[in-house]
Amino acid sequence: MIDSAIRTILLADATISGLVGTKIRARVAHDADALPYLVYIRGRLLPLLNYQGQSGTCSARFEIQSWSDEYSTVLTLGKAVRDALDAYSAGGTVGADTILGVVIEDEDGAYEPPVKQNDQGVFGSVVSIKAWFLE
Amino acid sequence: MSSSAGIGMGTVLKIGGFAIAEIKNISPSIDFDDIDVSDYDSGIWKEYKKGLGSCEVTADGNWRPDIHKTDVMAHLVNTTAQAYRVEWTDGTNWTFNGFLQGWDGNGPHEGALDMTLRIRVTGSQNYDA
Repeated sequence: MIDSAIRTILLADATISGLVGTKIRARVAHDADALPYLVYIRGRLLPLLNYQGQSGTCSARFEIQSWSDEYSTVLTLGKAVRDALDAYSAGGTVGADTILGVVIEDEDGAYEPPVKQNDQGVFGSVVSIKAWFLE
Repeated sequence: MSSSAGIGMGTVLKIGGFAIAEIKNISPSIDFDDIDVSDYDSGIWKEYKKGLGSCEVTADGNWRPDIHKTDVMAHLVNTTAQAYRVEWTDGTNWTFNGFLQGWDGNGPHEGALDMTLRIRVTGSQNYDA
């Protein structure tokens, strides 16, 4: 599955794992996860079609969100996420998954303001990618 | 009232009996020449006679350099016409002789490799073979 391949790539990056450990979650972080952590969300998956149906080649969009209470940490994580996935821009294999290429589309900043007076806001970085892979 | 319109999914393009992989659109086009036969008696409207017809088929597909180098590219240098066949999904088959007149490939940075084949039909077409 491309989802687990993306997670494996991120986990293998020393900068990322050094900051978040294994806290790289699909769609939503765990209640017990302390900052910083990563959340990845798969968006639209497009199978490449021909007259005979699915060709086996697919593209899928992902958002990889980095969250931290330190602004500098999300900047570091955002760059590390881009670099780790950009290493697969020309493709590669991750376990049994064949990645044909990864396109880094952009990185956006985010900020969740505090709800209560003594709360702390949370900084975020959102890296959007498109991954091409064989299914 | 329900429609009996056909769909493209399942259509097959064959060259010399071999199906071309990864085709996703086929567009046949037929044109007849018009011959201007207007004369002093035609008044204000031109008069024409129907001339000779010609047919071209374009086919779009996902470009697979590994398999299309033999299935498609090799036909570009063929100097003799070959048997082409389009198998539509309603069971109708179009057959004609032709040659691969042109090929256009496209390799966008963020997208899939794709290609367009331009097939020049020579002679008539059989619409139910």
